[in-house]
This record gives sequence, structure tokens and C-alpha cells, in this order.
Amino acid sequence: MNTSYKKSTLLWLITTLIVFLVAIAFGLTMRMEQAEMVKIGPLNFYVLMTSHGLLMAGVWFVAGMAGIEYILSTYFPVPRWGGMIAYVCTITGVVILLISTFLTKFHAGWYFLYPLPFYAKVMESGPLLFLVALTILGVGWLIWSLVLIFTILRNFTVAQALAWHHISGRPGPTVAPFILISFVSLIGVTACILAAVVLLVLYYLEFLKSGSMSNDPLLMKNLTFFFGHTLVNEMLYLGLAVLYELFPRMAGKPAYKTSWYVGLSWNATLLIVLFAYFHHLYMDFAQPVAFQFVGQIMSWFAPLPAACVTIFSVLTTVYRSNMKWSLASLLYFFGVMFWAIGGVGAILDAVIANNFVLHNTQWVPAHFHTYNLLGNVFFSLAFTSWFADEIGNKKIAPGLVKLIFSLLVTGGVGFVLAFYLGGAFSVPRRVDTYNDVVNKGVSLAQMAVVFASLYLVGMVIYTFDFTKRCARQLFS
Amino acid sequence: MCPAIILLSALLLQSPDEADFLLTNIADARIRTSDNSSAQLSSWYSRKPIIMTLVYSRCPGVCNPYLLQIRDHVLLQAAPVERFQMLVLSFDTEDSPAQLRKLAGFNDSSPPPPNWTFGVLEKENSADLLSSIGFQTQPVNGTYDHNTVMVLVGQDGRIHQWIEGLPDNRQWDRLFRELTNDFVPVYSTLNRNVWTSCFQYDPASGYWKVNWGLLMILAPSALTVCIIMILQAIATSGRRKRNLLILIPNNHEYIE
Ligand code: HEM
Ligand SMILES: [Cu+2]
Repeated sequence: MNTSYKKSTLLWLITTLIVFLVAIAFGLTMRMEQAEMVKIGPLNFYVLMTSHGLLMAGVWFVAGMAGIEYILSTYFPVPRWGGMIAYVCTITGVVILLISTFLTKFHAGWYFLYPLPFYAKVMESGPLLFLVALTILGVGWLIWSLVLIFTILRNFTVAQALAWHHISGRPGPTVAPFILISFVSLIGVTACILAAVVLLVLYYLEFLKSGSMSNDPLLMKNLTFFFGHTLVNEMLYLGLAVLYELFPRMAGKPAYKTSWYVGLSWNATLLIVLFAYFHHLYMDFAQPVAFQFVGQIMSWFAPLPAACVTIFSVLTTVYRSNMKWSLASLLYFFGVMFWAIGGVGAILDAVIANNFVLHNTQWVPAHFHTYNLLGNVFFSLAFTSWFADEIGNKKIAPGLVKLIFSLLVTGGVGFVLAFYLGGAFSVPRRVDTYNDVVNKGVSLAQMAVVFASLYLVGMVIYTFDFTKRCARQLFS
Repeated sequence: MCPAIILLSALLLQSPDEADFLLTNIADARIRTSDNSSAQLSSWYSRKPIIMTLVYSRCPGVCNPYLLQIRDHVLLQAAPVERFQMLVLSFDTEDSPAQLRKLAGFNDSSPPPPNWTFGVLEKENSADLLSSIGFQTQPVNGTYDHNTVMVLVGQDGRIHQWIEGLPDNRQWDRLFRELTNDFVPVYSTLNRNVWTSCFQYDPASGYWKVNWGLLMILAPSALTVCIIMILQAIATSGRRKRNLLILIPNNHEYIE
């Protein structure tokens, strides 16, 4: 293994951890405002909310991509410039993004639903800076994604990479599940970034032709969620691809094979994921009814193939294995379980009848924080921990494993529980203070602050330990 | 699903021309309400929303039946009197408010409800008012050819609903929902010529037509497929070249 791959992966991971800490601090401050423990006011709340959502989505996306790139480079040589361009674009994009939110007070929420960007601003330059930041991020990530796809295609045809020969039982080269899942996810990533490109172009047109052109809100909303929902969905699958590669190794079992059902389920996922976002438009009566049906059905089926196969694989791997439970394998195992729980919460919300009740309550942040904070983040942290054990000069102390793991799980579970309860009591999402009707929100926020702090402490310890063990490699 | 279908069908009922008037300002004309009193239009709508329609009492055609129908519907709906002001105006300067009252079928034994007012447009800015609500008249042999328009004007002086001809039941429903602050599902888009819109309403057939916008939702996926195909083509040609390089030594051996 080339050490330059290790260095660049290390750089990504350290960056991710640091940005994660900052973004948690933003989230904690929002929760403290809702708990009436600090007073920052609505504007600053929305500034934090916008920054928090985007930083989180972005940072765990790049962490997933970094994992994919690293494992892929153990198979084939990967051109390095893709990742380097992406890194430069990510840093530049994030800096401009934070300028647009903190200095020009842009605060339209993480998916900046049209036409909010034209109103949720304090300075005229805010929306433009914001669009520029997203453009830079989008371009960098698109290039990175295409470079990785190209690397796979240099070694397999599209049909092979999609494991069609494994499904039909015809002869052909062995395609590891990692390759299949990465390929499927990268295709999805490319599609949703392209949706963002179309979206941004339309925004620029309206912005630059101020007044003389206005967009169709329904189209903008479709594109927004094509991008936002799909990206968040795919970044989880990036983490899963790496899991399929590493988890059996950790359990001392032979590598997973791409059986026909693994092949079939990920091919189904490739298609279904692209239609699931329609569930964000249930309240848009102008959307054709047929789309709503499609959204309902696809939302149910989107997680099913991937989740069933993954949960099944993970359980059979653990069963009768001589797994030495490390921080990495613990995070993988529990990550999958929490992902399943969050998935159930999501599916409940994606049922049209339930959505009439749960829409825009804290149920929404409840379910997506479950499979992000306790699912996707755990997957990436598992990779990070595995990676640290690979390259670090020392293994992590067993006492620290227990401490960190229990802080993350207790903190994370308590934190999302407060959101679920809030949803059940109809506490709305995205407000900075609660009135008498939903004053339960205040005490729930106080509870969340306590638990989120535990999580933050766990992450601080983790980051400190990781940096201590690995940072030297960066300069060696 | 059912509500969605109802809501969607409600969309079909909006006259597309309403978009030309929605949220535009109505001209603040002067109105004579009796022989010796007159007032600005704004003196009504600034207090509460007004439902306003225009007729003239000498009309040999549509005005009388139209006004009677309007009257029956408004009275039948029993919308709270304090919620809105009903204004029946004449665009014919020779009219008098009393004649209009008679035209609407009221008399001393059955007087109009207190929120009804009859008035005649003063000459000065009557043309402004007529054009601001899309009311067209043409003198023909001492009478007028004209269309019929009913508007709902909000307290901001802007047109909130615009109905040409006799409103059908759904239009009435929408009108009164607006007055009682009930949820009105949807309005025509204010900008009808958005080329990126997903659908286009075709007034001739009454059907929706898919527009460019909808294709733009497909564009990202289609583009992705194209890109993958191109990358595959490049990669395959690259692979062939590499294979050739591996083959050459073999050939060489064979020749030797
Ligand atoms: C301990 C860690 C975290 C804390 C304390 C936290 C806190 C919060 C809070 C208070 C909100 C606003 C909720 C509301 O609508 O009332 C929020 C929203 C959000 N969070 Fe987190 N969060 C954390 C972790 C994460 C992670 C790991 C992700 C994603 C990978 C994430 C993504 C988001 C997104 C996308 C939003 C929505 C922003 C919007 O509505 O525009 N958060 N978070
Ligand atoms: Cu979604």
C-alpha cells in the first residue's frame, strides 16, 4: 500500500473529525436555545441551523467517499488528483459557506427550499456567496465521484460492476460486494450532484436576472430533494460498502461474496433510491397523484433490499464467530442496528396518512438523527478506528474503547429520544423557542442538551486519541 | 389519496386568465351611493374585503339574471355579514343606486342586508377602474356590450380572486373560503409564462400538459447514464490498448 494514499485518507479523516466537533457545538447551541439556557435569538438560531445541517451532510459525505477511495486503492490504483481537487474544493467551499452564514447571515436551512434563499438573507451578497459555496463543493465532489467511477470502469464493464453475471450465474470476473455497492452509490451520488447543478443554474438565472425570471417552485422543490434526500441516502451506502469489506475481516471470517441476492438487492437499490425523494412532496397537491403513489411505494422499498441483506449478513457474521470486539466492530454492529431503528422511524413518517400528523414535527429530526448520528457516523467512525489501528503506532487503550463507546451510545440515544418524544407531543421542528402550547419542547430540549454533551465529550476524547496516535504519520 | 385528487381537480377549475389580475391593485375610483353622497372605493375595502361586481340597470341582456343569481348565492351562503362588504356598481353614469337595488330584486319590504351597497361609478376615473379589473364595455345603439366580472378585493386593495361569467359552485366555494380564512388549496401561478414549469394548463381542452420542467427532473438521471456510458467507452478503449501491449510480445515470439 502506497503511503500517499494513507496520508490523504488521514488528512480527510482528521478534517472530518474537527469539522464534526464544530458542527456538534452548533447543534448543542441550538438545543440550548430551545432549552432556554442561552439566548441567541431566532436569526442566529437559523444561521446555526443552516451551517449545522450543511456541515454535517457534507462532512459525512466526504468521510464516506474517503473510505471508498482508500479501500478501492487496495484493489486498483486510483488517480490521486480526484481526491485532491475534492479536498481543495471542500475546504474552500466550507469557508465560503461559513462566511455566507455567519457574516452575511444567510439562513435558509440546509436545503434552502425555493424561494427562501431570496428572503432568508440579511445582506444582498448572502445568497450569492451561498450559491458559490455550493457550486464549488458540487464541482469538487462531482469530479471525485467520476474519477472513482472511472477507476472501477477501467477494471470492469458496467454490467460486471453491477454484478449482473453474479445475478444470472454466468461466468465472469469476481466482483466483490464492496465494488458493487461503491459503484451503485457513486452512480447515485453523480445523479444527485447533477440535480444540484441544474438547481444551481436555475437559481443563478433567477438571481442574476433579478426580477425578470422566476422559477417554478414545484420544479425547484423536486430538484432540491432529488439532490438533498438522495445525497444523504447515498452517503450511508458509501459507509455500507466499506462495512461489507471490513466487517467479515474483523470477525475473522472469509470475505463476503456477491451472491445473487446481494447483487439483486443493490441493483434494485440503485433504481429505487432515485424515486424515494417524492415523499418530501406529499404536501404538494400540485404534484401529480401518480408521483405520490410512486413516492410511497419507493420509500417503503428503498431501504428494504439493502437493509435486509446487510442486517442478515452482519448477524450471520457475528454468529459463532471469534469476533474480537474492537471499537470499530462495535460501531459497525450497533451502527447497523440503529440504522434499522431510524429506518423504521423514517418509513412510519413516509406513510402518507402518518405524514399528515408528523410532518414538520421533531419526529423528522428524530429519525434522520438516528440513522446519521448513530448509523452513518458510526460507520465512518468504525472505518476511522480501523484505519487508526492499521496505521497508528499504538492500538487504542481498551479502557478508552469502553468509555468512548458508552458515551457515544448513551449520549446519542438520549439525544434522539428527546426528538422522538418531541415529535409525539407535536413539538414543531425548526423553531428556536416554544410557546405554551408545546412547552414540553423546553424540558425535552434540556434533556437533549445533557445527552448531546455526553456525545460531544465522547467525540472530543475520540478525536484527541485519534490525533495523538496518527497525526505524526501525516508528516512522516 | 382522495383529498389530493380533490385538490388537484380544484386546480383545473381556475380560469387561466385570473392570473392576469391576481394580486394587482384595483383603481381607487369615486362612487356615488345616493343623490348627494359619494365615497372612494378604498373607504370600503380598507375596512373589510369587498366582493364587487359591475352591471347597469338598463341592460336588456345578462345584467338582471346575473345579478339575481349572484344575490341568491351570496344570501344563501350565509357568510358572516361582518366579514365582507358587497358592492354592486354601475358603469353607466345615468344609473342611480335605487335602480340598481331594484335590479337586484330588493325593495322596501325585502331590503338588502346591511353589508350591501349599490353605487354608480363617477365619470372621472371609471375607465381606470374598469381596466384594472378587466371589465370591457362597448356602446351599441344606446346600450352596452360587456362581459361580467366579479372580484374579491382584499384590505390591501389588491384583487384576491377574479371570476369572469357566472361563478360555478367550486368558484363560490373558493370565494367564501377566502373570506372566512379557510384554506384555499391553490391559486394559478402568478407567472404564467415560466418556461421551467412542470405543467401547463390548456384552457381549450381543460387538460394538463407536461411541460419542460418535468423533463428537467429526468435530466440528472439521463445525464448520469450518458456519462457512465462515455466513461465506459473511454475505459474500454484504454483497456484494449493495454491488452494490445500485452499481446505484442506474444506475437513477437510467434514470428520468431
Ligand atoms: C450530537 C450531535 C448533534 C446535535 C446536538 C444536533 C442538533 C441539531 C438540532 C438542535 C437541530 C435543529 C432541530 C430542529 O429542527 O428543531 C438539528 C438539525 C439538523 N441536523 Fe443535527 N445534531 C447533531 C448531529 C447531526 C448529524 C450527525 C447530522 C448529519 C449527518 C445532523 C444533521 C442535521 C440536519 C440535516 C438538520 C436539519 C437542518 C435544517 O432543518 O435545515 N445533525 N440538529
Ligand atoms: Cu427524504
